[in-house]
Amino acid sequence: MRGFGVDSALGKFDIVRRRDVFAGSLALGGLAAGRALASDPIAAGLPASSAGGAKATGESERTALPGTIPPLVPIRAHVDQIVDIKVCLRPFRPMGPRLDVERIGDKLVVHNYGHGGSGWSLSWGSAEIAVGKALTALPRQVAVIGCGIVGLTSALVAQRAGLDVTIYTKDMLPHTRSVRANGSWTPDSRIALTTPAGPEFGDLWERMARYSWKSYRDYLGLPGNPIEFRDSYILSDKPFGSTQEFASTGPGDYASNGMPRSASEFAHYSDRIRDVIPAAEVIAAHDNPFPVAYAKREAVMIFNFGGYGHLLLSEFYQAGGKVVIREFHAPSDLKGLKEKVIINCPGLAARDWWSDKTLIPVRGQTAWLPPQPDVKYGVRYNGVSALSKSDGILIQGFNASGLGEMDGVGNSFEHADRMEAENAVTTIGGLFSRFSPRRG
Amino acid sequence: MMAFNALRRRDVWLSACIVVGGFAYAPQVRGAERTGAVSYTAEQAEHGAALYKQNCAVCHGGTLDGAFDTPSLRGRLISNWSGTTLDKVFHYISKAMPLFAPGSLKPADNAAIVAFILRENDVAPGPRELPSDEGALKKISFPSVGGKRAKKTSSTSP
Repeated sequence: MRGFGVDSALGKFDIVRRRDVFAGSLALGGLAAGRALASDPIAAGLPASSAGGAKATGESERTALPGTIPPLVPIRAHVDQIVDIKVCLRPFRPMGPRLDVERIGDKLVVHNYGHGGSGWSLSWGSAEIAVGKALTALPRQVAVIGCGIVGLTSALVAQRAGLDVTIYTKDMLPHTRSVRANGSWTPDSRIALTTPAGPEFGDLWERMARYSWKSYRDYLGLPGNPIEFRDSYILSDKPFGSTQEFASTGPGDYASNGMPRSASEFAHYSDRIRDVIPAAEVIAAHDNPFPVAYAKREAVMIFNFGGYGHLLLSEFYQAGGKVVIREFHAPSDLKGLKEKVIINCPGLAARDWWSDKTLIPVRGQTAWLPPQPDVKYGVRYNGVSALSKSDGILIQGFNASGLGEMDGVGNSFEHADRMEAENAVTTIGGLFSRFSPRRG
Repeated sequence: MMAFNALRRRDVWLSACIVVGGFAYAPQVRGAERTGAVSYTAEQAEHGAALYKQNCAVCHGGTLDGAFDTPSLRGRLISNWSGTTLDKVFHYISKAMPLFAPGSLKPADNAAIVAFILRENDVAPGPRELPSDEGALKKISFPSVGGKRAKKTSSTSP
C-alpha cells in the first residue's frame, strides 16, 4: 500500500522521529528479571520445549510449591465428542500491523489491521494508537470499518474518547474471522518478521502489549468470565530445553521470495514484557500428576469468545454506538460515509478491499469439544494444546507440520480438515487415557 | 497493478475533492490564523527536549505516548487542548507539572517544554521564541490539524 504515496505526516512522524531523542529513557522493559516467558506457544506455533523451556541464558526456573497442584478432572478428549471445527486465516503482515494514516479525498483513514496471530492480545493497545491518531483531526464522530476484535475495541476506545461511533461491517459476531481464533494471550504470535519489521517495531509492539495487558485486567472477575486466567500444563516426555530446528519450506527468505521460508524469520518480542507476565514454574516429579516425565505450569490469560464478545458489543450499544451492515469493495466506497474520519479495521479483508498485497493469510484450525466447567486448566503436549474455555474444550495442533510458525503460512484454505482435528484430539485423548486422577 | 490502482483511486478522489469544495485534512499541523501564529525556535525545542527527558519522560514516556495511566502528549493532546489558547496549557504545566514536584520549573523552561511538545506534534519551528508569559501566550491559539476547528473543546480526557 505504499503505492498510494499519501502516508500523512502523522504516520511518518510515528515511524521516523519519535525514537530519536529518547532512546535512553525507554529501558523500562529491560528491568525484567530473567524469567522464562509465559507466551503461549499455541498460536505461536512453537513447541513447548522452546517457548516455555529453560532459556539459553542458563537461568534456572523456580519449582512450584508442593501442594499447589489441585485435583485435576481429566479432559474427555475423544474424536466422537467433536462439536465444531473452526478455521481462521490470520491477517499476517511481515512488517507488522498497519497503523499509518492515509488521506483519501475528504476522508482521513487511520488503518488498524494486520495483527497476525496477535489481534486479540494487542487489540486494546492498537486501538489506543489508532484512536489517538484519529483524534488529531478533531472529529466528533468516527466510522469504524469492521467488527472483529480490532474493530470492536477501536470503537470502544473511540467512544471512551467522547466520540460518536458507527461501526460499518459486513459481518457481526460470530461470523467475524477473529472469533475463529484460539483466544489466548499470544501477543507476538506471527506479528511480524524480524527484518521487514525493523528494530523500531519492537518499541511499538511493547507499547501495544503493555496497554492491552492492563486493559484486560478490567474484564477479569466478571460474571461469565469474559477474560480469565487458566493454569496451562506444559508436558513433555523429554527434558525441556532442547531447541527444535524447524525445516524451511524452500530456498531464500522473505526478501528474496516475498514469502517467509523459515520459522526463524518470525519476530519475537515477549521478553520485553516478562516483568508483568507470569513465568512458568517447574513441577517436581513427585508432584507431577501427568503420565509424562517432565511438566511445567504457567498461568495464561484467555479470552472466552462468547462472554467477551457479547460484553463488548453490549458496551458499544449502551454507549450509543450504531452498527450498519455494509460491505466495502474499494476505497472510493468511503465517499458515501457521513463520517470524515475512519478507522479501518478489516483484518484480512484489507487484502481485497484495500488491495493490500502485503497481507499473507496464515491458516489455523481449532477443534471444539463440549464444555467441561469442572476442568479449569489446559495442557500442551506433543505439539497439541488443549484448553478448557467457557464455550468448550479447545484442541489445536500447533506444530503438526514441524514447521513452527511457518505452519499454515500462505494457506488460505478456510475449511475444516477433519483428519487434522482428529489427530490432535487423539493426542490429548491418549495422554488422558494414561492419566490417573488423584483424589482431592 | 498497485500503481494502477493507486492512480485511479487518486483521480477519483481528486475530482471528488474539487466538487466538494476542497475541504480536506491537511497532514501538517497548522498554526492559528485568528491570532498570532505559533512560533518557537529549534533551539528552544531542543532545550525543551532535554528538560522533558529529565522531568517528564519518566511518566509520559520517551516517545510522548504516555502509558495506560498517563496521558499521551501526542494525538490526544491535540484534541484535548484544541480550541484553547497557549496560555492554558502553559499555565497547566507550570502549576501541575511535573507531578512529583509541581511548579518547580522556571517559566522559560516550561515554555521550552511547550515548544518541544509542539515540535513533536508536527508544528514547524519559526523565527521567534515561544514567549514565557501568559499574557503573550493568550494571543496564540493552540494549533490544530486541518482547516476546520471543532467548536467544542474536548471535555473527555483520556
